Amino acid sequence: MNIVLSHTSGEPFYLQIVEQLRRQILTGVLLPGAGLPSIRQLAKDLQISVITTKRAYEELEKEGFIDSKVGRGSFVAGVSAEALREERVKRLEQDLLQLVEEARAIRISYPELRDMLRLYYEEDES
Amino acid sequence: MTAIDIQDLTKRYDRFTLHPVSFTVPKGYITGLIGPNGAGKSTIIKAMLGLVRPDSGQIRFDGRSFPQEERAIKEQIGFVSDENHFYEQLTVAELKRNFAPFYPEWSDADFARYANLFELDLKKRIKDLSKGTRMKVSLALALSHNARLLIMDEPTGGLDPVFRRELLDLLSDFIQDGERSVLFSTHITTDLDRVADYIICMNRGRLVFSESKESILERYVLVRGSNELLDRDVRQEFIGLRETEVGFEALHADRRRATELFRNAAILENPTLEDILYYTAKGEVLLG
Amino acid sequence: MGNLILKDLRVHSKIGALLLVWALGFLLFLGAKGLMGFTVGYYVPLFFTIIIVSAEFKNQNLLFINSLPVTRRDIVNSKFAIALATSILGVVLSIGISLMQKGGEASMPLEWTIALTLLVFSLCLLTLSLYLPMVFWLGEKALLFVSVLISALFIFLTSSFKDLSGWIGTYADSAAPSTLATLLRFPGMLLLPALSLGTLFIAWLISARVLEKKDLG
Repeated sequence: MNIVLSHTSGEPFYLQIVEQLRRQILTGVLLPGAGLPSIRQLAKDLQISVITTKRAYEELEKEGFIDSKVGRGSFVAGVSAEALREERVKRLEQDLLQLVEEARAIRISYPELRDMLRLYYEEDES
Repeated sequence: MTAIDIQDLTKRYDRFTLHPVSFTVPKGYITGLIGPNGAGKSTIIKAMLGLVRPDSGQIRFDGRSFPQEERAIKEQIGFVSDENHFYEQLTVAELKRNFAPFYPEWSDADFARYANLFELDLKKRIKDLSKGTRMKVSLALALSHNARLLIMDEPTGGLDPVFRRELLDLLSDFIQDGERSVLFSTHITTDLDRVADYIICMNRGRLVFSESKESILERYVLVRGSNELLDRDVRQEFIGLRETEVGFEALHADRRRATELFRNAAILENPTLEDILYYTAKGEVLLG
Repeated sequence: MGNLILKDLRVHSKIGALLLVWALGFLLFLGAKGLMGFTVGYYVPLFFTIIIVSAEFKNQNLLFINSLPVTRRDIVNSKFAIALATSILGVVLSIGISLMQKGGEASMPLEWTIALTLLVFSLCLLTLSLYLPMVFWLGEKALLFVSVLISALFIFLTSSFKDLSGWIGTYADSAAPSTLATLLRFPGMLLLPALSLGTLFIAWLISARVLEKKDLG
């Protein structure tokens, strides 16, 4: 696993950790059952507060991405293939929404956008 | 689960008064004690070690009362100070020999490891060491007797930036098992910006706040804007304010309120601990 | 407390050695002839204790020591233990001096040896009983006050011991009774050290009290 924090983005550290771990779990970089560093080890490695890493892990646990067992540490939760797909579809929808908003903002019509999309989609497939 | 519990501690000197101060230092974390010079940090730390006798109040360490159980408590404390009054004429090795017998859990192996890590010359006399090296000696001694609590009084003063970063790693290592705690007093807050879990802020003998760094940094907000935004009511909102001809910068203690107040009229940014310290001290000066 | 004493002895071992060398030199070249030698029994323990204690105050080592797992009471106890132990060392030195003189011309009756030894021991305890509470109260400034007293005592001792030398001769010859002689005989011999020990005990109580309340930093 990799976590790279930006000290200048203004986004809280704990959110950066949550997002990066979530992405790595969803994209299969981190597989179910994989062990995660302890909150104290992670805090040490990133040179940040234990409370920050604790909060990030709690957040991920709440979302069901990781399991924490007292005395044994934290693991990537067994996310089912279906749930994974569902989550990824949800994120795709969010990205699409952003895409549409951006298109509207610069006045690209739906047919135009569709054509652009098709172009990229088919180009990538070939 | 508190490492240190302080209740209503007071101390009166001719030129300084510590008003009743209460706070706790949680076990398993790094807690920073910050404040400008003369805030009362040193008095509190000296009272914790029994160097200064408070006028009133209670000090407890992990459930033990101080000074009733002074010896047992101090056996588990590693103390690092910027003014370590060691015996100047002794060498580092001799100092260690006189220091070790006081601690039942002293480990020569640990000391050798830290001495090596800090590149200490054991044959050198204390009086020939730089301030930074003295600090390293103090740190090596404090870390070699299986202390459960590390109390550091302005430890980073004489240290170079490289070692200061390494010190942060050492502190993180120290609290890895969740049973050990660090209390770190300083007015150089950049070190604490990174690793501190809790912050206790003092100013002019009073406690300003004592809470987790996360919540402090989320609660406080730094506001920058043009001077037209300032009127009497707005001024009173701020903890501290710095005005120039081209605009103002101020600290607000409630991010949500500040967001409502200024919307897009001002720039709202995350403060650093130094910003908070600066405006807290400045604000009090204006009020006082 | 044991660790505190050992630490003091280790840290100041060089000064202790130096004092003993000085005492030896003093005896060999000056003291062995008259009763002057007895002053060594007074000054060696006194200087050693004063040096150990005042160095601690002067360099603020007390702050370092008090941050160790010891109580204030331990600190006071260790200093008084050293004071008492070095005073007893003074007794040993005095008896040693007397033995060295045995072979000399002015051989002294045994009761005089004992009486002078105990006198030296008592004076040593009395001076330390004054110095120690003062140093715990005033810090290194105490030395200033006590040094006046020590100098006065030095003049008194050297001059009176010189007088005594001649006087002992007379005493040995004629066994003429005198107030001092009677005093230095049986009751006085024991009363003075007993009183001095009592004074040291009171000084110890006062010192513990004084240091307990003091702010060191």
